[in-house]
Amino acid sequence: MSIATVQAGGGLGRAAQVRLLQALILVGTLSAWEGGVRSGLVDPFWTSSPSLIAAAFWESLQSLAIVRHTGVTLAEALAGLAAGCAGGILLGLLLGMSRVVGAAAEPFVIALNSLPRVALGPLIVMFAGIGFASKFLLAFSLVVVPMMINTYEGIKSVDRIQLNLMHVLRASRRQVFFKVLLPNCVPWIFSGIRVSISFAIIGAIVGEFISARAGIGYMIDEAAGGFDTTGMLMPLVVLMLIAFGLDRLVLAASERLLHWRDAKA
Amino acid sequence: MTAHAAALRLPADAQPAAAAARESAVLVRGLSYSVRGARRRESGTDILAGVDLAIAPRQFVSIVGPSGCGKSTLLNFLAGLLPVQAGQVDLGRDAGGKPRTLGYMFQQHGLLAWRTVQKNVELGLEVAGVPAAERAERARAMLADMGLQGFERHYPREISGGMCQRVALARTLATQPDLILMDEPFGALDAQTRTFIQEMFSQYWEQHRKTVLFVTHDLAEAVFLSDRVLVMSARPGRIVAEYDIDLPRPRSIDALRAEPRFLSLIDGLWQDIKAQSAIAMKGRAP
Repeated sequence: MSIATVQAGGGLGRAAQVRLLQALILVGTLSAWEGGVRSGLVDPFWTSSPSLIAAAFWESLQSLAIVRHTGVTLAEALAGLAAGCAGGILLGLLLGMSRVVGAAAEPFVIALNSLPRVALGPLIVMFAGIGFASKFLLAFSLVVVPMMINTYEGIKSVDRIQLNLMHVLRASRRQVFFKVLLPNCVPWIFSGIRVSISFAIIGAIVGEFISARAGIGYMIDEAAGGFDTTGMLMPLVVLMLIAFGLDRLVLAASERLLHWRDAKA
Repeated sequence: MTAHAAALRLPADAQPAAAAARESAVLVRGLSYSVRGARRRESGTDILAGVDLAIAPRQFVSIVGPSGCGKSTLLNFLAGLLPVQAGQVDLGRDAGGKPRTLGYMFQQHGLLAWRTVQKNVELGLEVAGVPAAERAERARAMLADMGLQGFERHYPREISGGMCQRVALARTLATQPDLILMDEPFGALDAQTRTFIQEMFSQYWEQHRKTVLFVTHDLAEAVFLSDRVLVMSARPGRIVAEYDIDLPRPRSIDALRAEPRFLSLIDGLWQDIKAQSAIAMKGRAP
């Protein structure tokens, strides 16, 4: 049955079609995976299986191990995300407000951005130790640069006519900033935050890989030592679901704040 | 500022220029402007060459001229968006000695996408520090004048280009500026919408009589709206001809279309512009 027939016959709207397709992808992937293992086509030693992962999760939940480790990683990632966003937005605004400073700093910012910052990990661990601080710093370093660049681009993208208009109205610098520049940045900042969620988690996990006593990265590292595929995948699935939830939260917040963008003629 | 410019800038008292400045809302004398070439060895390009211009208060003046003659540049000088290199630009001061307030309208509406129609019109009043209640009232009244009541809470995305341009017009007029600068404000609109908005603006102007300097390519528009039409030369621009538009007000486009005087004014302007465009073409030929 083609999509067209569904629409004509069942009268399903496009939104419903999307939901249906999403459900099919989810159920299809999981049952292929589970079915492959059950039928003996693939060896669960290499691939684990949805039911094995669910069982491992349940077990870990009862001992609260997964709760504790997720909490540790999330604390590191979210602290890095918050500090990185705050710092990045401030720096971006600073660069955008002064044409001289912005133009002077631009090549350095680009160079900094092209640096694979996870490679700073060992250095940061050496400086900040193996506790919370090193993961926080790594997450921060991954978030701050893209946030800065996004905010800066947001300021640069402002319509010249709007600035001219504010000048003709004899607006103060402060008025130009709060009435034109800052609101113009908001969509850029939100898209920056959405990318930064995964960057922050990457920073925290990589920090934990290098050296840690707790956290999702630590759990994965431990399980890898015992060739435990399920033990490696289970915390990843948990983390993926949490990151997905966070993204949906930010998306909802941005849709609320940026409703003027979706307004249609 | 160059020494040349300093020499032209006369002291504020006891000079004939100062007396003239008091009588005119806008006084421009010997305004010249050139931009340096992108590379060091290129010579500069002269954009304006000694523009003289005086506009009486409450007069509607249009500037027409061949493309690229520096009309918009002249407007930007009056708006204070470009620093004066040579010559003098004087917009006078109001009774309280404060600089005159300006309105500027561009071909693109420049509305803030995150503000509703109502809040966009309030922008200038906000900047001027008008209290919230008064500002809302004035913006609403201005929108009603532009035939936009009922659209106050819409966002720019939700309304048509012609409506956006009307909102921009309402925004420009809401602050009741002493001098309104307009740079092809209706140029991007389709013919029907343009006629509609021209008539609306003409009616508004006939009631309120603000000082307006209006740049346009549309000769019929210039003649329909203006008290005087100035013709600018090909680049470098200066004023080469001037037409007094003695058509009686209130005017209506429908009535004017058949009016011989209206058509002969347009024809006169067109002949001037054609001559200037020919010079411009010759100048650019290899």
